[in-house]
Amino acid sequence: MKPSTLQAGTSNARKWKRLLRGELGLILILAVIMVTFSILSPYFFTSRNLLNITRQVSITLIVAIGMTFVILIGEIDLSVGSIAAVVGVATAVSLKASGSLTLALLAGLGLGAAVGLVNGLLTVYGKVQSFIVTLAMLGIARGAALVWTDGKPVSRLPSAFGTLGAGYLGVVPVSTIIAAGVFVLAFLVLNKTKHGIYTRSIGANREAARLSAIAVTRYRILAFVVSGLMSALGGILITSRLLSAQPTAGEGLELNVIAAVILGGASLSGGVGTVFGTLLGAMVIGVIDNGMNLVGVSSFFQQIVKGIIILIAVLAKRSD
Amino acid sequence: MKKVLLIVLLAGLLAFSGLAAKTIGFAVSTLANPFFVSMKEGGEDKAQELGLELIVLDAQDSPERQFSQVQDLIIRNVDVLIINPVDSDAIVSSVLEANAAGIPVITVTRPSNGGVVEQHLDIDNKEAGQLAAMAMAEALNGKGKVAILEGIPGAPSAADRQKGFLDELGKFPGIEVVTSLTANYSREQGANVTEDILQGNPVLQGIYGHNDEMALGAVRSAIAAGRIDELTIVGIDAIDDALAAIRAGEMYATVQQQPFLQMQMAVIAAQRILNGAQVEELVIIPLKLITREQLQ
Amino acid sequence: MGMPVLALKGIDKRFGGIHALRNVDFSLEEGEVHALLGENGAGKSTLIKILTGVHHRDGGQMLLNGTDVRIENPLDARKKGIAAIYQELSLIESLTVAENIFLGHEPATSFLGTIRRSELFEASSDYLRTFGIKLDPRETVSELGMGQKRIIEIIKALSIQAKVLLLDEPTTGMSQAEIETLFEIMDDLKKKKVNMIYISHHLDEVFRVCDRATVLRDGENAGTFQVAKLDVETLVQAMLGRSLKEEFPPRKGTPSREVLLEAREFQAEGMVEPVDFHLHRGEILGITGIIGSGKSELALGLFGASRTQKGALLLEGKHVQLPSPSRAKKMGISFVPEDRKAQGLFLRLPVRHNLNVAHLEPCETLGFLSGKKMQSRALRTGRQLKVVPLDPAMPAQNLSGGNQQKVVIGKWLGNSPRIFILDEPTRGIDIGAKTEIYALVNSLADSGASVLILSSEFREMASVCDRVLVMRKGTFIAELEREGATTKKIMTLALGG
Repeated sequence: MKPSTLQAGTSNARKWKRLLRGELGLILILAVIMVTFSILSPYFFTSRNLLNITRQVSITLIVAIGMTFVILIGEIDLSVGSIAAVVGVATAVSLKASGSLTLALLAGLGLGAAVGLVNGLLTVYGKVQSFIVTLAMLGIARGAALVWTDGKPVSRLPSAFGTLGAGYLGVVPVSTIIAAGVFVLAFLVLNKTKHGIYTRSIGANREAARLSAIAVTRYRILAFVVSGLMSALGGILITSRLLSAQPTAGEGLELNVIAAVILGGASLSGGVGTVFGTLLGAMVIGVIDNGMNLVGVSSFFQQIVKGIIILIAVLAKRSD
Repeated sequence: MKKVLLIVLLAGLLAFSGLAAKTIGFAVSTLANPFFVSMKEGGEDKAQELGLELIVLDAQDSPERQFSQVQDLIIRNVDVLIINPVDSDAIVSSVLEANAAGIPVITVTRPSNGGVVEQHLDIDNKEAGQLAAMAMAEALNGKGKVAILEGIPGAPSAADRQKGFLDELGKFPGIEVVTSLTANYSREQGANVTEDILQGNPVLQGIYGHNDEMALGAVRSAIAAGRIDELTIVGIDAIDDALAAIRAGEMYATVQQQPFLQMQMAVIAAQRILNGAQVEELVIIPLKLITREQLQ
Repeated sequence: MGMPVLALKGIDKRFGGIHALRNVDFSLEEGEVHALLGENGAGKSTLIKILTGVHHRDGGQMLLNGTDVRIENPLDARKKGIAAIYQELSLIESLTVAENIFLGHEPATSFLGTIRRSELFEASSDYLRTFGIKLDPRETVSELGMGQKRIIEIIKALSIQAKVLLLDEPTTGMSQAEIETLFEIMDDLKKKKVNMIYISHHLDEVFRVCDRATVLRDGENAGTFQVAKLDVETLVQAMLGRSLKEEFPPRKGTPSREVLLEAREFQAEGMVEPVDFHLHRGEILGITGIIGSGKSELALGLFGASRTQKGALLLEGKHVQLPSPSRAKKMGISFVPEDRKAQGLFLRLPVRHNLNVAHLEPCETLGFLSGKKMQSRALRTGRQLKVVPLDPAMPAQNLSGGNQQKVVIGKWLGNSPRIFILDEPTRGIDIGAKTEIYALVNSLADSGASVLILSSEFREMASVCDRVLVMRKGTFIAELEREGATTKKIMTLALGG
């Protein structure tokens, strides 16, 4: 047997197979869904609606990118929706108190990063599974948002604040531009820096990472901080979009976000996944929601159809 | 995939069949509550009668989702938007976008705190609370201990139903409100909270729920605790389950808001707007107190 | 000898373009232990998988007690009395010994289908007693040592009345004493007419316990031998098609007398006692001893990967602190851990990732990594180590054991190491890969690096190292220079003879 010569013949085919099972397959699925909706609704494939979709997807995508870091490193963050809510409240309150947008944004992002840091410290030093730590944080952060506001939304925010979530730059929604920026940054960090390589390594085999002289503790904590920061950005955009901080905002957001990441090809056991996959995963979910609304599929039925399409997408990716 | 395609295709055909007709978009806060289901049915009933198409999108009580859905309805180019807001503040940006797109907006049950709205259809929640209090006072002969199950904290409807009830009860110094806790308009939470209330109050004569769902939860827990006979339970909304409970003697009274009628009227208003007619800015749907006598 | 229990005649198997087995004959006689040998990729695992129904043969005959059979699947194999015990254990850690032994065929169930635990324990006790094993069947498997687990696995196989027992590298992770117990059990089984096929890279085990040996090379039968009339030289020749002298490539350079690293009263977490030793520049130093002697703990400690360390370490005469692996890396220390899958490799990640991960700095400009540089570095290291197949994008798990080990070593080559610590570097890999690793160790030492090998393979210690320290119960009991370090002497010292 001479494996080296055999390799030459199959390497190209193997490369394609790898691609097909990963991103290319998902692109095809997304294309099929989009073509279907284009046929079913004349309103779907218009530049106005496509831009609308990018705006609708932007929040899920931003939070999902944070989640990608956490899932890549082999952990999970269930507290993203609650962080988004409490950050929304914090941003709105500080905006009303100080009148300074910069200060309010810093307060919001800072709070998100801090909650993420607590998640990370408890997981790493407390040696508690992140599922439990962030499940507890899900309750704590949500409760904090409700207590803080006494359950009432914080409203009457200056309309200039609405630009972030609902405004446009030319024809392009501002939140789309923000999401695109976050995507590019995350792509570079995960693919072109040590941080990305180390994150992936720790998720793939934590002990081997430690014995490869990687500062495992630091990167694990950092992943939660990134997720907290991205959740905070998501929360700020939700608040800006509604010009109102809802203490109940982002309920169930974690499920949509985790679905997007897993649909994008990441493995819940860590080490495997890409931000491009996450982008596609978030797009698939967003396009399904939007398309069914345009077609006018009954709302009870929507949930079934969405569930089925997600299952088909995941199964199609798995079978080779 | 084929099956899904077929399903989507069928739904699409249904949508197309009415393409020539005028389309009304209805963004409803949640269809997990029978009150709003009844509202949706009223809308569908009237729309069919008038030859209009009604697209219903359910926000599942999420203001973010409602924002996206209103977006989609605007892109879908509906002729009139009827919105039942999840939150009166959070809906403002959606109403503004609809205004910008030149689509007339009607709101039902909860108002929008901004933007141009052609008509708001509401019930007077204070009056509903008042009617409930009158029924309670009558049943208790003006004397006894009462507990309250509140709706979602901060929701205007909950605040008004509370205020109307307490104001009216003020006329009866013999009635004492021993506790007032939130159960978020949910039957399950109503049952749980009532369990705790019954534990904490060995003597109790009445329970008032801001809606029937919570009142029915209270019925369940009261039966389980064997105290249903001592309790006068009053709710608001007059949903089918509540009417049945009143017939069975488990609940004493409810206040009928007529969501079916409310949405029928909203669709009629939409039709008028489409015909270029003027509509009233505010319409209050009349209320009706229902006890066992009315059902006989 | 009468009719063979199992006979394979002209077995042929192809996978796409690969001819994995060509016309292979093999027979298992009543009451014999038959070794199946060969380098990784020689076709051993394919043959085993055909025997256990995982793969199906393309051609040839398989006779079980004289009748031609076809094994449909692993369950069918078990039904026909063929049981296999693999390197990876199939025990369920959270269950008791008894529950594991009877998993799937519980002996006594009540009418409700529930298991009568007392009967289960009794039946297990009987089994354990038959094989002279002192073990409580109520004990949870996770509490047991590797050797005891392996024995439970064998008993589990025997509890289904297996006629043919396949043992694939059964001594992996076992201590010398446990290995001896295993062999005694095998001797006993032989008397009870249980027939065994024994797969191992350890030739000394083959000589100790096997009656005949069949060697596979490149998918063909390269000869079947009577072990009693056989010497290592012949066996290795058959496996490699070359001679034993080539297994250990000659050492050209000589170590300097200059001390590079010195440990004084050094004790890391898990070590019984503090130790003293020194390592010369350009030296290959072996530290040997049986499993449990504290070697691996010492290795982890020297790399800064233990939780606690006491005593002093001197690098070039200066005191150094090693609180973390990254500090050790900065001092030029590289470490290849004992368990390559659990501690060394990122199995699901590409070979390129594995080869670059420990030393990304050269591929970095202004904080950004160059994919091109990572690719070319992976190719260069891969070529230097003769990793086959060399596809940097391929996940490391697709490589054979020997090639995986080369990747773990290659991870550190970019670090221009001053000290290379290798813990059990050749465990479970084929002779060809071993030879290549020895050659690499020689060239590292020749280039001025110091190599510390911790191994329990005494032959390897004797043939590769300039100096050998023998460890027993946590302390060094002997120091042997190359001339005095024979396999026999090392083994005698290590085992306490």
